[in-house]
Amino acid sequence: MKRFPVFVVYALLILACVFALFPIAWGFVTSLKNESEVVAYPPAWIPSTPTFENYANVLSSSLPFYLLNSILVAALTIILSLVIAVHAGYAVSRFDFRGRSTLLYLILASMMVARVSNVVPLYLLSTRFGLLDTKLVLVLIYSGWQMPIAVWLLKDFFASVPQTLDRAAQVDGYGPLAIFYRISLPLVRPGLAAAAILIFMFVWNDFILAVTLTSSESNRMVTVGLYNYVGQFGIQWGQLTAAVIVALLPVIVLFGFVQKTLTQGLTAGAVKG
Amino acid sequence: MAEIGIDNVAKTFGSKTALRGVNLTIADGEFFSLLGPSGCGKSTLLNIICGLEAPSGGRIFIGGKDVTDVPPKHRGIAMVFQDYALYPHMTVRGNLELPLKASKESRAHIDRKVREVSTVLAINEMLDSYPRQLSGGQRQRVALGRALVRSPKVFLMDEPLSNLDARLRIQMRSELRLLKERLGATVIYVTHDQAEAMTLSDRLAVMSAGELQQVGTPIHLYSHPGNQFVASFLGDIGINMMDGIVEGGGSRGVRIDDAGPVLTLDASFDGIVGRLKKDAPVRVGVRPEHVQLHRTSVPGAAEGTVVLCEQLGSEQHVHVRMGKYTVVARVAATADFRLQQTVFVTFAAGALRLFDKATTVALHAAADTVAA
Repeated sequence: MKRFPVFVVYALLILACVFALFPIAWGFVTSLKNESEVVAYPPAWIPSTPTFENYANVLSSSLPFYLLNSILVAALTIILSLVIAVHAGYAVSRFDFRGRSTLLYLILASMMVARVSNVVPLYLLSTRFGLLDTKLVLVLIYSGWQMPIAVWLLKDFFASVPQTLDRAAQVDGYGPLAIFYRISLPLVRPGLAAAAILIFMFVWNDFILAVTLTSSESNRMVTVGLYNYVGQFGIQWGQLTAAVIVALLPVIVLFGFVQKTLTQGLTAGAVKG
Repeated sequence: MAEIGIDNVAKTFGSKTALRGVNLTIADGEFFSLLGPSGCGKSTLLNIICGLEAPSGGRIFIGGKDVTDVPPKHRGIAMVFQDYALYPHMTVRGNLELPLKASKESRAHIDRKVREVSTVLAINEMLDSYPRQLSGGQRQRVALGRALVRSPKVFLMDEPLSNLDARLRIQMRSELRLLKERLGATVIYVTHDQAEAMTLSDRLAVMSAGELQQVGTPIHLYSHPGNQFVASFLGDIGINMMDGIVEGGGSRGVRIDDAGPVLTLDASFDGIVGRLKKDAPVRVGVRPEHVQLHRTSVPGAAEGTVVLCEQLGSEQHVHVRMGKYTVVARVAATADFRLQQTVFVTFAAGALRLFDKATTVALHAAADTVAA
């Protein structure tokens, strides 16, 4: 097969990186400008007098509190959906029970319903159960929405754990639960990390559900908080971009933590190969 | 006592039959191999003995006790898997400790056993390494170690050496046999490699299509194969097989093909010569080491042409074209044969094996066929 010259590959990669990073870079540059420079035309690529005033304003506002809300809801959603998904994923991967395929496709089908079409029914349900304007309602709905993808993802990760390890553990004296918790589960850590990242990103970025089901300041999520900078008479670009950059930090930190787990092949050395 | 009894064990997977009524007794302290090609049911039988598979019929006895419904951990067995099956997220020490922890042994006992086993297998330098950091041979030792720490009555080994390279496999083969002598345990060893089965086993069973073909000592099976399958499966370069026709009428002759040389049956066929029908079709088998090559014609020899010489250093395999057959002879490495050379072929006395062409069963000694 003919290969692309290396410089073409690098040029394409650099182009892709620029395309992906430009909005973030522009946002960062904007966040360092003062109010008059933000709206100046032609725009300045580099701020003439970089200022952290926008950051100071953002950090002294309620945004850090909204960040904590989002982190809390995301963490609880990850825990709840993964606790259910690891068991379901293991079951559909390891046990051949009646209706297994149907169940898997039903789970998949639930992901195909346009989420926005659920918002009104969910609002009504939340009201009926007295859960409106609570963090719990967000955790429950986000978990319900994200669990199917986690089940499918983990199913494949469990399938990649050699069954001979289960058999070895069985001979070594482990029962089914010990085999699951002590052998299979630790080996799908990359899958858990991948699922956690997906769930976190979803929760972190959701706006419509957060704005519909929560209204009080104490339950406000960061996406809704960012919307505060879009006012009736204009947008506070400097503070908005500073707030966006601050809101990006937890995502970057999380990626930093799980990147190694995501990429390492934990099963290397388990069996021949 | 760890005598193993396999009583009429059968196994089906849906409509597919993996084992048909297997009966076998393996003595305490015996090194017993289950030998056969892929898909013959040998691993299924091992899994049933282990308790990882339930038989569709029949019973399993270990030490006289019916263990058919007993889970693996309570059978007093340990298993070494073909692909090692080491727990990749645990160190070598963790792997060795796991069976003892699972049976809730004391910390002192665990430490002592791990120390003992790692010394025996020379893996004490790598106790804190992870499986991915080890070579194939080292992983195999750890897998053996994990079986050893439990001090089982029976070791079950499912092709444990098949992932190693040829030289290491031979080295580990010797170590395995020495280890078995040292422990005195019963070993059931599954392999498709006839050389492994022959060199390691006290006795072996050859399997095909879910059935036992023959059971016996390696030399007995090699010398007196009960049927054509066993004859063909054992031996590193395979037995030479030809079609023959019994001359009958009191003659001891078997003619190879219609017009080929006539081979004379020796005294070992005394018991059956009278029963051989005239013109009965048979298959004639002769091992390569019993094929003799002569440069000049000798009485009863068949003429052939050398078509290939394989020099192995310790010996030489000479392929001789005889009519429609190519016969392989195992001769001395120093013997000088050239391609296209005309040679005269005879077979050593007592070396011929006859098989019924229709049933493939050996005609020379029906009594030594399947006998568990």
